[in-house]
This record gives sequence, structure tokens and C-alpha cells, in this order.
Amino acid sequence: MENVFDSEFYSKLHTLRMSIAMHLASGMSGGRKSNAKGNSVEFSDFREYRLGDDFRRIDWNAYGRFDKLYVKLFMEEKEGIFNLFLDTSKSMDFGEHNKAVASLRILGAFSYIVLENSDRLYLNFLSEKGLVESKGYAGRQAFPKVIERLEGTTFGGNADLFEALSRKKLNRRGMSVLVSDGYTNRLEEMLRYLKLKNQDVVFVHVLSDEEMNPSFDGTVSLVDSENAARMRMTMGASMLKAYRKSYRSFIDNIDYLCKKYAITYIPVCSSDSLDSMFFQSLSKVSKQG
Amino acid sequence: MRLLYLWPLIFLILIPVIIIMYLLKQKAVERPVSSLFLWNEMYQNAEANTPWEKLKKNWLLILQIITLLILIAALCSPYLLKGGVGADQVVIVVDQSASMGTLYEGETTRLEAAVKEAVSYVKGLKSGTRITIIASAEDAVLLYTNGDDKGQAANVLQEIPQTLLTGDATPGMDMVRSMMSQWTSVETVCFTDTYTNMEGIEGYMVDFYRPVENVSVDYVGHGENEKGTAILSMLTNHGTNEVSCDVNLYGGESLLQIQTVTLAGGENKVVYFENIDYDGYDVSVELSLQDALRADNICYDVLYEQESMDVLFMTEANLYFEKAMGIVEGVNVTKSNDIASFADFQKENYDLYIFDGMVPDVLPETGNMIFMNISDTELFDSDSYLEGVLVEPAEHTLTTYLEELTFGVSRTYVYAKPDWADSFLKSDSDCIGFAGEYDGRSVCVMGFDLHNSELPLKSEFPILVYNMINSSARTSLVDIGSYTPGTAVSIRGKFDEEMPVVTLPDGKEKKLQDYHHNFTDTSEQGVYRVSQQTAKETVVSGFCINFPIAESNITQVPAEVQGEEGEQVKTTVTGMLDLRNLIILLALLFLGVEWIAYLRR
Repeated sequence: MENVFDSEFYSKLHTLRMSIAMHLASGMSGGRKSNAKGNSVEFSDFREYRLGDDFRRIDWNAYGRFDKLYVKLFMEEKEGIFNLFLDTSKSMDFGEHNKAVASLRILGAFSYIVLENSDRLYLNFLSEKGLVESKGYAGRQAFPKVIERLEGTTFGGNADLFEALSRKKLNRRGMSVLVSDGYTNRLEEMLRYLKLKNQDVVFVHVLSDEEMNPSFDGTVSLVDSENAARMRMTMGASMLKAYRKSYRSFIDNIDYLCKKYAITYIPVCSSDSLDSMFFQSLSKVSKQG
Repeated sequence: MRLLYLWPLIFLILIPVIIIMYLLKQKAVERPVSSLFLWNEMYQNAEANTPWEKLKKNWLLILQIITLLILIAALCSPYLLKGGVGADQVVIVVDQSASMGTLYEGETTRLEAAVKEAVSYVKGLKSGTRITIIASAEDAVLLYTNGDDKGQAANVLQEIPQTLLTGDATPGMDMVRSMMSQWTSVETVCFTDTYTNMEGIEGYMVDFYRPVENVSVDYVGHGENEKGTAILSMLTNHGTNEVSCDVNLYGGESLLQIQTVTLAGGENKVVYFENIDYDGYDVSVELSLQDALRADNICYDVLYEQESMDVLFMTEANLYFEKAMGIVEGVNVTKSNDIASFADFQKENYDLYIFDGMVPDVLPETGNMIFMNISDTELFDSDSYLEGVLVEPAEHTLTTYLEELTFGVSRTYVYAKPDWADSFLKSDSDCIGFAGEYDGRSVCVMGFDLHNSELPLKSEFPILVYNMINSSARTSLVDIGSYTPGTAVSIRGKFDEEMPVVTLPDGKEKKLQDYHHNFTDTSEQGVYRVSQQTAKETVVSGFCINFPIAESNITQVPAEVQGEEGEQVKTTVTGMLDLRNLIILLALLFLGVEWIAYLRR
């Protein structure tokens, strides 16, 4: 595999200054402003003291003015929990512009943003062996480790994506980013599972030019990269037209599923430039305004 | 549109072969894909992709099949009829004389072109037309009579052989005239290179004459002098351009001499080859030249010596016998009634002496002898005679085929048959005539005067005389010389020996069925060797068959005479538009398209 995280990647990375829109309610203290009121320096509101409130937070100036006990409310800053799921089946390691490279770069960029925002990041690899989880990463100092982990990713075999994904315990609300080519019959189950686990889901759908617009001719034997299955057919304009029709239907179906489950759908072509991948695609998940 | 030939349709069998080859040829190329996920989806949605459907849009295959069909169509020689031939009965006369062997177009001879045109004509006839085909040269040959099978008629036309015979379509026209009375409406088409009178015949000539450059060897002769054999050859340039070529003299298969000659247009020239040292019997002169008519570039001669017989006929008057002797070829007869001068005559050493009613005191010491109406000599003796008897043949080689002969004789000697002879004429048991060999000399005796018998009135008489002369003869087996193809050459073998054998130019041997035979298998150019094995030796002679000079140059050109005589002369058959070239062009076009399609794949 080519050098995934090259100097161009890093130079583009430093231009990424965006935070990911996410509704958080729980999690460790972090750099993300939670909807929950809590302990922080950023004032939010007042309310009357109730039994059990920390009396250290009583605003004595207000008591002097209104003769009532008021408690200062502060915006609690929480960590966002980001689970990145990468499909590491062999089908991802394909294309002149390799899908695996594109996927890893996207995940690297995601990780960078997540860690920059002081959120917690988990890398999850959906492989033939099942789910391979990393420990949690937090803080920008963890970014090199993330990169190192991503660089060590191997693609191979025929992964049962849903089976692997369903092993992930998602106890807290967070954001799950699934990066895959979507070649599974259980994609809907996967997306639904994530939604059931109270996740904001982003599906980064990575495909190569060869898959989007194949250019076969004559009689060919197509060999599946995952399981070496073969399919013999005589290519012609009509066959390619039929393929494109199936491809369109495949994309439309995923788009429909994503809309149905309120999932952010990001189709990516592996031949897209880094700019395109990072800004046009990731901007869909960035905080508006 | 009609097809001239149907046999190329057999190539339609190649179409399934091409399709099968395409199916077999479709070797799949392995192409990796990330996943068959989408392809499977597509496959389930798409129609069944059977091998036949695979072929549906294979343009190369379709183009190849179309090209094959076009080529087959071209081979079938399709044509359009421009009008059509209306007669219910047609007669096709094809000139097969030697001149039709002249090249017409490329390496195609006039006859081949004529046959092709005639076949086109036949194919263009409307169904049911009655067809008659006549080949004509020296004589006319009726090849196909009143049939309506156009395929068979075309086959008959295609099998008309090129001959080396003289002649033209005139005998064919004569045959048409004799047959015309049985038909009401008939169109006669004559394919020829020589003007033919078609007076009284409805139809036209198709003219295959074209001026050509042709040089011929007209004649080869030989002579002897003290330095050896000299060969003379006469050459003629029938063309208009000057021609220079080598003239080769062959002795058998060996090249003896070469001379180079230059002939101006229309010139003829005699070429001499002298001091030839050759002990064979056949020579030929051949031109090293590829002109329009190849067959007349060679001429043969034989060097056999003609043997003739000198006969002294001592008689008062015997026209019967004299006339009958006239049928024996190669006989030089000297007649005399002066027996007193016999001694002087004898000095000439005749081969045969015939004594009719007179005999010298001393018989000649050499030569064969025939005695008629002689009572006794030193060789035989008669002591009685018969009057008014019926004579019949006895079993003898002289009376072969004359078993039925009987004739009356008013007076005849009766002989005591000598030991050295056998009786060939008898009356009851009396010997009237006998023949045999005495001291190596043939002696034949007949005891009556022909004037006193019915024998000259009998049809068998000339045969008997012929046999008598021939038994004593030393003439050649054949009249040595040059003949034109088709000539019946008389071969005269000796009786009581083996049958003569003729060796043809191609080396094949033909044993004759009779001692005397008119040999007609002379269609081939070259030297014919005739041999007969006798008890003493093998007698060999021969003759040669040469190209008929008259066929080397056509003087009666149809197109030129046409104006004077009014016959309709065409250069092609009515109503044919040959589509072959058009279709071949189309095939080439499709091949080009296929090539482009192949490159763009």
C-alpha cells in the first residue's frame, strides 16, 4: 500500500479547523460544551437553590440582592465519544486509487478533528476475525498513536461487517463513523444497530472509480477479491449499462436508508483529492456556523 | 437475380463453423473486482445471458458471416437478366476446332471463354426452354438433344474438349439446318472465332476472335546429304509485330540445334538445320515463345524410310488384275507383254514378278512371283485341266474373310500341289491355286485366266488380289508422313504375324485388332510409332500428327464478314448483367469495415 499519511496529508490536516456537531449528554469532562449544566468556568444561568445542590455554588451576591438563594449554573464541558468503524475486508483494498488509502486518510482526518476538539476517540476495525477495538484516544498528543494504529491496518478476507459491529458495546451516546464500501446485505441492520445504540451515525461510503464506472470489454471472468469467486460474462455496452443501473440503485438505496435513519451519508470516491475528501465531505458533519 | 453456379452454396456449411469457432474462441480474461456484490445484483436483474445471446451483438462475427455470405454469392456468379431470352427452343453450337485454343483473355482460351459465355446463356434461359448443344470442328457432334435441364446442359458445355481438329462451326450449322424442320421456333447461338454462314438460321454468332500475336511452325521436312541429315522448317508470323525467338531442333527428347530468327509481322521464313548427326527417327522443331496459340509452336517429322515395291507385270492384257492392284499402296507397277525382253527387265531386280499367261524360259533368281494361267514351270507342274467348274477357297491366309467366295471357271489347270505350298483355291479336291514360300521367295499360282472366270465380277476379287500382292510385299507398315489431327491413318500389317502395335505420343501402346486398320486415334500432336513383330524381325515405322496450319490464322473473321453477309454477330450473350465483380467489391468493403471494427475493439 502506498504511503497513506504523507506530507500532503499533514499539510492539509492543519487547515482542518472544524468541530463536529454532536449532541452530548454524558461522558467524561472534556472540551465539548454539553447541554448538561455542570462544573466549569463558563456561566450559563441561575436557578433557585434546591436541596442537595452544592452550597459552594450559591451566589451570595444574589442572595444579598434578592434575599433568596440562587445557584449559578455553568455549562458543563463534556468529552464527545467518537467511535470510528473501518471495514477492513479485502474489497476495500482495491482500485487504482486505493479505497483503503482513502478510508484511512478520512479516518486520520476525523481523528485529528476529534482529538483537536478534546473528544475521545475509539478506533474499531471490522475484520474477518470480528471486531478489533483500540483503546480510547484523547488529546492531540494521542494523534501520532492514532496514525500509527491506522497505518498498521491490514485489509483482507471477507468480513461479516454486522457481526463484527454488533460486538461493539456502545453504552454512551456518541458519534459513530462507519467507513465502508457497503458491500454487505446487512448494511441496514448495521446502521439501525448504531442508531439503536443512540449514536449519531455518519456513513462514509468509499468507492473507487473502477466500481463506479467499470470499463470491461469482451468475455471476462470477474474474480471477487474477497473470496476468489468468479463470474464469467461477455461485456458489452448493454452489460455495462445494466451494471450502472444496479450501481445507481445501490447508491439510491443507501441514501434512502441514511435518510430514513437520520444518518449523515458521505459518498466518497477514492480518486477524489484530499481537499475534496476533507472539506466537502467532512463539512457535512461539521458544526454549522 | 439468378445464380450461374449453385455449388458454392456448399460453403454455407462454414457459417455454423464460424459461430462454433467464435463460441470456442471466447476465452475469458480474468479481471479482478473488489466484490461481485453489484455484479451479482446486475446479473439477477439482467436477462439470461446464454451463449447465443453473447453472440447477438458480436459485430465482428456478424460482419464475418456477412462477408462469407457475400463471397459465396460472388462464387455463385449472380447475374441479372436484361430482358431475357424468349425462344422456346435454343440450339447452341460451340466451335471446338484447334483455333479455339488461342488465348482470349489472360490464360483463358477462346473455347473456355465461349463455354463460360454459353453457360451464362443457358442459365439465363427461362425455365422449360428446350436446349440442344452441338460441338463442331471437322464434323459436328450432337452432345445434348432437346433437354430442359439447364444444369445438365451447363455440365455438357463445360465438358466440351479442346481439339486440334481443323474446321469451324459450319458442320454444326449444317446439322442445325437438318434438324430445324422439327422445330417451330428456334434460336441458334453459335460460339466461334470463324465466320460461319448462318443463312436460313435464326440466331446469331458470338464472336471470340481477337487479333493476337502468333507465330507457327508450319512444316518440318528432312533430307539426306553426304554430311548427314538436313532439316528444313518453315515458320510464319501471323501477328503484326516483329518477333524474335529461338527455334529449337529436337531429336526425340534431345536438343540438337538452336537458331535464333526474327520475323517481321506477316513474314514467313524457312529455317535450315544442317549436318545433323542423329540416328533416331523422330525430330521436332519448337519455338521458345509464349504466344497466343501454343499448340502450333511445335511441328514434328519422322525420319523413317518409306518402303515401296517394284512390280513387273507380264501380261497381254489384264485390266482386272491391274485395277485391283491399284488399291495396294506403295506399289510401282511396270507392265509388259514382251516376254522376249524379260531378260532386260530382270536387270532392274523387281521385288515381285507377275506372269499372266506367259512365262520366260528361265525364272528370275530373285523376287517373289505370281503365276496366272501357267501350266508348268520349273517350280510346279500341271498335267490336266478342268472345264466348267465351280471354284471355292481352300483354307489359307490368302482367303481369310473370303470363305463365302465361289465362282465359275470355264477352263483351269489342275496342279499337283508342291510340298512347299498350300492350296488356296480348289474345285472339289482338285488344286486350282496354291501359294507358299520356296527358297525364301514367295510364290503364288492361280490356274486360270481371269477372263475365263467370274472372279473379277465378285466383290471379294480386290481383296483376294490385295492379299496376294501383300503376301509378297515389302511395303511399309504405314504411309510415313505428317497428318493433321483426326486423320484416319492406314496401317498395313503383315498377315500371319503378330498384330501391329501403335505407340501414341504419350507413350501408351495400342495393339490393333486387325492386320489392316484405319487408325483414327490421332487427336494428339506428336510422333506415332507403328511396329509389328514378325518371325524374323520387328518392323518399325511411324507417322506424325501436326497442328493444322489453317487453324493458326483465322482469315474469315466474323466481325469483318458480318457486314457483307448480314449475319448478326455479337461479342457477348444477350441479357446478362454479371454481378460478380460488384459483389466482390461489396465483400472487400465489408472486410474493410470488419477490419475497422476489429481495430476499435
